[in-house]
Amino acid sequence: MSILAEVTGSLGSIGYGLAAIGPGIGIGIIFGQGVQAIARQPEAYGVIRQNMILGFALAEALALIGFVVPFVFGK
Amino acid sequence: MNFSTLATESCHLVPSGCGFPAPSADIFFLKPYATFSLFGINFEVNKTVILVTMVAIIVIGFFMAAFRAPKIVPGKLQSIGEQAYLFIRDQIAREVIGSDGDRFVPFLASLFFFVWIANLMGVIPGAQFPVMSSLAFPVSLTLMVYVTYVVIGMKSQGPIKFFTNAAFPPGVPKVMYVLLTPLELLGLLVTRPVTQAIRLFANMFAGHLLITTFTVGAWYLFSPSVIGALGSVTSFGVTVVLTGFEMFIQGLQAFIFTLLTAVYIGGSLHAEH
Amino acid sequence: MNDPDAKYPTSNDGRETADMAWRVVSYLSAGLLFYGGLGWLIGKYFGHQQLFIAAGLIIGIMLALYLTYARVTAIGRDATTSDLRNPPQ
Repeated sequence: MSILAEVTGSLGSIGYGLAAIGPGIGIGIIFGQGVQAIARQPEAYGVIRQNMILGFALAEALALIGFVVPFVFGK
Repeated sequence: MNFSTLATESCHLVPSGCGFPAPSADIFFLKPYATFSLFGINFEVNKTVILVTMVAIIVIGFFMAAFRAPKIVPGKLQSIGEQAYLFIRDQIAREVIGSDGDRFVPFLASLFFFVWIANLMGVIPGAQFPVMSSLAFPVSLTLMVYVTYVVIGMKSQGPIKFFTNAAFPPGVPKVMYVLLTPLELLGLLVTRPVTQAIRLFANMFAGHLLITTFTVGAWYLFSPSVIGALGSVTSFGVTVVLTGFEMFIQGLQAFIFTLLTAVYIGGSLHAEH
Repeated sequence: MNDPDAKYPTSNDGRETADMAWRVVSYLSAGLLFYGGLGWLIGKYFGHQQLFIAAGLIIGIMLALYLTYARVTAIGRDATTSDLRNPPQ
């Protein structure tokens, strides 16, 4: 069976680039909606901030895992 | 890759069709003009050393000239110097540390203007090498900031209490302290300085590499043909746009560096609740 | 720090949010580094290095997220609107 297409070089960089798309969009949505919510009801700032930070931490975790995995599992 | 050999090789796309000489990390290692050795350590004087000396002279000279003979009704140079100083004091020190941050404003102002003018060297024709893209300079600035906030924290909160205040998060069952304290201490002592230095270094490194790539591309595609004209002009246009964007990023990174310094000093002065 | 009579967020709150966001990044990287490093050390002496590194990374992420949760709810306990649900102890 012959090879039809092949990607060579630094696959880890491509992997990290792809892994950063999702968290980038996610964090943008989290903080965007958070700021909108604060604008609608400024008295609820404390509760909104708590949930914003928690959501940001979960999304950022995925981006950082994507950064580390090529070093650990790459060749 | 040496640019003088690049120019003499005349390697353009259309006549010779040789590969694109993409700039890599090699362009950050500059030729030394002079070398000397002191106590067994080899020193090199290259463009980076000359540029950073010039930056220091510019910053020190400007502030000394502005505040040399201060008058109540300021002249032009003094009012520019006052606005620069007050920008740091109002936007960074008073916002972040509060009013007892006033004694740190000289340190913060020196950091901001040194980093900013050093970054600006990346777009000034003739110099065209952002000094902060050489890892040694962000690292040495960060070491100064690191020693500052650790020593201030130990002085104002007590040497042991500084670490215990930061290390034990409230509201956590005592069993988890064993697992969580290494994270807190590592975050306080290792991650903070490392991310501060790498953020400045990586931004300047990437910006310089981008501008160099598009400039080399404009030169490489330059030839009297359709693809030459189109490609070269587009590449040069992108270089101009990227230079403008890079100037914005340079100011922003200097501001963020100084802001983070103020945050760390403020966190050391006022203990966590 | 948090004015109990303030009805609108002040610039102190903005600084606290930004401070907390950077701390999240530092906790996550510290968790990855420390427990990934522990996993690497254990793997060096007992074999199966990749398994232990992966386990260390996952445990590091989980602990960092728990620490973020603990810090955020501790800040929330000082704020006004959550005083009814989490009375200060």
